[in-house]
Amino acid sequence: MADLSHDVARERAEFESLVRLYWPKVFRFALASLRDKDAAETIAQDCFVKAHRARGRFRNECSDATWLMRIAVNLVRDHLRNRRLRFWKHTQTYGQPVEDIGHWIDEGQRSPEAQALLRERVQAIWEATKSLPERQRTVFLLRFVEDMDLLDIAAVTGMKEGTVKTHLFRALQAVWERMGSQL
Amino acid sequence: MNSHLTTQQVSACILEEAGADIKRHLEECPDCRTELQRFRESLAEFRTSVRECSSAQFAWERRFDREETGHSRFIPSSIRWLAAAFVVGALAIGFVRDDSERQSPMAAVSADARLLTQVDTQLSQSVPRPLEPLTSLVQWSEGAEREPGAPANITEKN
Repeated sequence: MADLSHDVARERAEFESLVRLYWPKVFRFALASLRDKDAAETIAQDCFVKAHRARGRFRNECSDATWLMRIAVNLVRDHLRNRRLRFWKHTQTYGQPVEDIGHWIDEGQRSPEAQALLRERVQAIWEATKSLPERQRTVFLLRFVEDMDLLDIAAVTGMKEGTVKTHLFRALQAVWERMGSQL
Repeated sequence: MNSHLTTQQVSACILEEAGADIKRHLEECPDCRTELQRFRESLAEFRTSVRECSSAQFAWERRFDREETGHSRFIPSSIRWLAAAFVVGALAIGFVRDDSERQSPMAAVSADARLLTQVDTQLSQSVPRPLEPLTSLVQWSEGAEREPGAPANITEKN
């Protein structure tokens, strides 16, 4: 009996450390995808609830990060596709849209003019990703915000590596064209 | 390669899949090199910005700390209703006060208009003190009942 309770406590501690480690990553991806803080929190919470329920079926065939991000990607996709649910979630939670990302740049040693230009470029990328198709946006964010390589993105999204590359190419082209004269 | 890099070629560079001809062009073309460098820098800064924004939005460390110390974020529904009632009441009071404030300027304008009319009447009927002796030389054709401001219909006394 003591062993059983000890195992339960250990499992709980392990899962809590998993939450602490990966919550920011899951939340960040959801926030960048949905641009809504409340929706992103809901997605992150749902992600860990699902992970907790399914942890018995997790066979360690991939890393914890890949497993959790796969759940998050599916939740974001469901959220975007279910327009009715999205409407009600917005109504209930008074969603706070994230519109301006440019002022979060690292000012560093740049001159004010250089900072202003960089801020405009970053904002242009943010605007461009908003209008990308869902799959392109997902691979773009996983690559350029989460620093994931093509194989990991393929594992997370369930796409083939070649498909990931194609979506990434198209996303980059769209972003580049959007930035246009700012470069 | 004479012309500048195409969008596809720039994307290939970003994804580290540029061929030898693209690399050669980049060595020879400062414009493309600069644009590519700026694009890379912008993408890197985009990553930083999203991460910073996300951290600020969630402040997850504080949240976990608060949960550990037993302070719940849950607010009982009764308190929420009380807060909502307070807000509605405050808004209603604001509307009433706003209306009364809107009426006061109107009343003030009306009072001003009355005062100006009185002043006009007084001024038009009164004769300045230095001219008072002259009034004995003329007479009002319609007596003192003349409308204020109307041209005086006077006749000279013989």
